[in-house]
Amino acid sequence: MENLEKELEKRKWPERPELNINFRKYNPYVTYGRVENRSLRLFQSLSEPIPPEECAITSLCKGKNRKIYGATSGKKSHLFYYSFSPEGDGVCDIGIIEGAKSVKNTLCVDKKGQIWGGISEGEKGNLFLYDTSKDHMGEGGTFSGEIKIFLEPVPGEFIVSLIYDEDRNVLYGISSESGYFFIYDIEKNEVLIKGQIDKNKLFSSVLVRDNKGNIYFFGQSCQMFKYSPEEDKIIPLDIYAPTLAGRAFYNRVQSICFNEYDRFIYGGVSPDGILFAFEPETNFLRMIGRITPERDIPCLTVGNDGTVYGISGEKDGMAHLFSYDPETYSLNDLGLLYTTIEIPWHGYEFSSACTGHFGEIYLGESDRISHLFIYFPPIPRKKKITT
Amino acid sequence: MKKEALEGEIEYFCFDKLPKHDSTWGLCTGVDGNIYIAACGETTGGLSVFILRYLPDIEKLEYLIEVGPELGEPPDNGHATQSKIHYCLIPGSDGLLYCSTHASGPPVNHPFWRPQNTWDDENVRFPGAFIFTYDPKKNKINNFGIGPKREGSRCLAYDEKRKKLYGITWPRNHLYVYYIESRKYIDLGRIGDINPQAIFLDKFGNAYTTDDYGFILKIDAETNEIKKLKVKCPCENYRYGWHNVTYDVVPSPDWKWFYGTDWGYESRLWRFTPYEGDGIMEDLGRAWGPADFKTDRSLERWQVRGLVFGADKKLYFAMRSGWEEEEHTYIIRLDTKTGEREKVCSLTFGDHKPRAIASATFDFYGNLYFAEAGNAPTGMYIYRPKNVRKDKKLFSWKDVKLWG
Repeated sequence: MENLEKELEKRKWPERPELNINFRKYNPYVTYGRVENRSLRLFQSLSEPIPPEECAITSLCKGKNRKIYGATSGKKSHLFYYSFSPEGDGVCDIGIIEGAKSVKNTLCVDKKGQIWGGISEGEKGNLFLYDTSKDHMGEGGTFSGEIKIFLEPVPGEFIVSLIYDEDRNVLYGISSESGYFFIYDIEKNEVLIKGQIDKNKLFSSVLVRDNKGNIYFFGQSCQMFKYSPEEDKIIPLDIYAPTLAGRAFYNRVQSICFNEYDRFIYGGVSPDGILFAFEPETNFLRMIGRITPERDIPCLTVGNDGTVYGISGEKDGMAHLFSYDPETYSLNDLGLLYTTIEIPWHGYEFSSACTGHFGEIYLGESDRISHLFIYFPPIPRKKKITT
Repeated sequence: MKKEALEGEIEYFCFDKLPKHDSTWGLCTGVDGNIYIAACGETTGGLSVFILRYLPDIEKLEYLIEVGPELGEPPDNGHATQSKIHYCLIPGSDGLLYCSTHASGPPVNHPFWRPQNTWDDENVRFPGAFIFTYDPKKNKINNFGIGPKREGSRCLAYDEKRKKLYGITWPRNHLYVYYIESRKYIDLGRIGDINPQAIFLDKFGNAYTTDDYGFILKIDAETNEIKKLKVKCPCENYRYGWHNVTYDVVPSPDWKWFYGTDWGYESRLWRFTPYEGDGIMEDLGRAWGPADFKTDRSLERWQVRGLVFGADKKLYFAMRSGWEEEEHTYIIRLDTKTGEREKVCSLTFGDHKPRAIASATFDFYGNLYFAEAGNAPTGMYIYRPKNVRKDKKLFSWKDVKLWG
């Protein structure tokens, strides 16, 4: 102690450098466009939010009625809708999905406007269906329908990916353990197992459909496969989702979307956090880049103008929103999601995304306490008309 | 420096051997009756927290240990520094101090630091909050390693029976528990966006803190389940309570109530007892000052902090007088039976004013200690009531709270 005190008397202490800093330049938050969020409760705080540990938003989709449908994961799994309307800007907790603890990126909308989903964890890996026709939120009250539990497409296994094909009125899915690629025919209430993506569980939990109706998925080392409904055939492609050299064994495609604008498929891989683009027409895949050092790209969605939006983040991390403009090939980190409307809140962890009717971007937070974030991209200024 | 105060004397004590350290967050009374102090450096880059000790018997200050290097994190290694022990300096009946470090001090030669700007940068980010014990007898740190990764630990409570620490991280606001014997760290998840500055314990070892709106959260001692209680820290009726997180909480002398204040715009006092149903919360009103003053726009305006019960069983606290033409920070005394508030003294000594009072404690003779934050060098104030005698102890270990 005495030595320390003597040493302190002689110590040369560091100095604080002059502070000629424009702190605005160091703002880590999204400032290009606007961010809001909604608590998972009725408008005007008419209800308690979906409870902590049950509210991680792990699946989102846009309904044909313009409402946003979401499902949560945790101790229980809830289905909800968000009403983006003047009469009731809030979230209706439709109810608990029986037997479910997780619904991960398996919500989709059929041509009647019904919501389909698959249970990703819980008691059984059933499909479920929700009829949206009663959904309404306003001063007079909030209304919703019932969740119906359907069959278990692959007995003993959960559903880790689910997409809808409007042309054929079928659902395509992947099972959790054996990695079976299955088709559920809605009219016939019939499941067809088309094949096993990888028997060693080295597959990715994503499916995507291109504009011609082909379905793509990824097996060991992120090798791409195409299912052609016309040929009723799974075709292995000599195409691999990108990763850092030597890391293909660890690589998984974590998020994927089809962009109508350029007809490319965009995907994000984990754990190397790389965004890529694939052109089905030419079977050409290219790596776009890595957005932040965080390992995951848990969700992607395409804006109304063809811009791809996504999250670069990871569990226990600090997620950044990013955008990729296919016209300028520009990959932009937009920043951390922070807002004071509706709830003052930093969003650190996200798992799901979808695009709203007017091009607003919905992001599903997946923390112990979670909110539905909404990003409103800026509207570019039009050029003046010169005559 | 000393001056007269109501029924006593107030002394300013500067830690002048640490000229750049600017805040004293951790402050507690050890089982030995000595006062332990965490002198922190959060403005100048490249500083590590020091643990100091004040010996009331001989009225002497000792500089015990520089914490960062002992944890393998020298303050000049380029990382955001182990600059603070915030409300995470907790005494144990075994004589040890149970501690966790906190972030905000910049790397050496950096003018500022923010966790969000450096989260993924291995070179300059904060590696995480170390959990450790400090043994004053041996002047040794027993390092348990990093608990919350890349985050600081804002506040801590110690359940001696279960050898278990409760803490809250910053900036991501996760609640954690740490079992000392098994060295097991458990992240219980995020509890809000605004960082509570206090987590406190009832007689059964259940822990309590608040969510962003002042609702009391109870953490079950056995299951670690987090339950939001149907009681809330008070606020003005036009507000819905945002930022009413706990700032400082102390037990009443009989330990039936917990007296507390919020971090923010109003600075009310309240008392809470958890022992019936969801508990009972009572509003004690604005801490002090004119009855009609409004919620201020500035979060740090009133600065009601440093709550401590004196041997006279009255509640002492510090508060800034934002309504006066020339503001001062005062120590105020509240008679919790009558509600009467008295000004004990201002903490202005000539040109020296505290920017904030961070925390408070007592020694066993009945002197009260108020830690200062915001000035370099940092220091503390000692209020010595006239009735204090060194041959008569008015407090004992049973009066000491085991949270920061």
